[in-house]
Amino acid sequence: MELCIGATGRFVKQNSEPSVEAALIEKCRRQDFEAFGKLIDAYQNRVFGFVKRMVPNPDEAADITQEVFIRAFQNFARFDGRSSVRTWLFRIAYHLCVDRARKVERTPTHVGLVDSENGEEIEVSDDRWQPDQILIDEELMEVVEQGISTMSEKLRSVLLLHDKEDMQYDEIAQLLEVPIGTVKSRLFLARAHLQNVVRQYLGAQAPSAK
Amino acid sequence: MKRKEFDDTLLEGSGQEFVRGLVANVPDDDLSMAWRSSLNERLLQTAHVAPKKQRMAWFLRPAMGLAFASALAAVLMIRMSPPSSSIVRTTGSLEAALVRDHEQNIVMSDVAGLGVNPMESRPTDSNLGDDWSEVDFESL
Repeated sequence: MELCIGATGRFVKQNSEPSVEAALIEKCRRQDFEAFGKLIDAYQNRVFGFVKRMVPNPDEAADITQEVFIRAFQNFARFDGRSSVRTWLFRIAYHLCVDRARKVERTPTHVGLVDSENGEEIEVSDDRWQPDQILIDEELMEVVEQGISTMSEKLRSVLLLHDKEDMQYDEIAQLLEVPIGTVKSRLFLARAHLQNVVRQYLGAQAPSAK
Repeated sequence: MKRKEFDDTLLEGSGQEFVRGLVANVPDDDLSMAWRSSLNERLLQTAHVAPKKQRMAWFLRPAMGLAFASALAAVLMIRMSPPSSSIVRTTGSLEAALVRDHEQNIVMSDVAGLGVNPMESRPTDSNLGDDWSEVDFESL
């Protein structure tokens, strides 16, 4: 019975006893540094990855990530366990990013179903297309990062939480305090936007949006 | 007006799945040891500040309660104190009582003379003998 950090950076219970994580959470509630350190080890890079894509400045993202863990440490007694620790941490991170965005009054580029340049409706998918054949290289990743950064905050958060953090729709809905249908539609729009960006990068080799 | 349900199949297309794969494979940056060290310091500061605040709250809560109670008592006492006109009346009756007492003392001293009241007694010549010592007696 041991709690360790898995390859995905999450808590892994080697013997599936739920009391292990509960015990760790209980220690964190009592402001146990060692227990909280384990929590930081497990989530720091994931939280930073999320914040970094929500906030353009990496230094600021690092500061916000610290703030996430400090707030979590201060308020662990209030953690009611209705959601997972991961969802709770990402909720804190999301709200801090939103607060920061409000402060700087950044105007995000909104992406809708209709292509703003051509006025055409973005099409959905092509079943003939084989994504495995696409080489995922660093340059493509940069394009993806750029595509993510040009989305509105609402679309970006849903895309990152679902596709990067592998959260369920209901978890995201709970975290963002929106209906599940909204989560799904935002996810669709975010992916459609990114698909469009990648298509432009890949040129003729890229699959059509549908 | 009821909103139209989102069609889940839209999210299952290969284009959407491709993007999902791309996003999932976006690399994560590792945070530095300096960052972690800085976080630990901030956490330690936070942990020290919390008991201080608790101690202050432990002292301030009763102190503030006491101050509030004192203020309330002061306000009540000011409101309940008699108006100034009654003080004038009291002063008048006091003066009358003093005058009456004085007149009564004069009458008493006229009738009985000094010494009725032990407070009014004065030292007389007969009291001089009290100062003699035993040596004086022997010398007689």
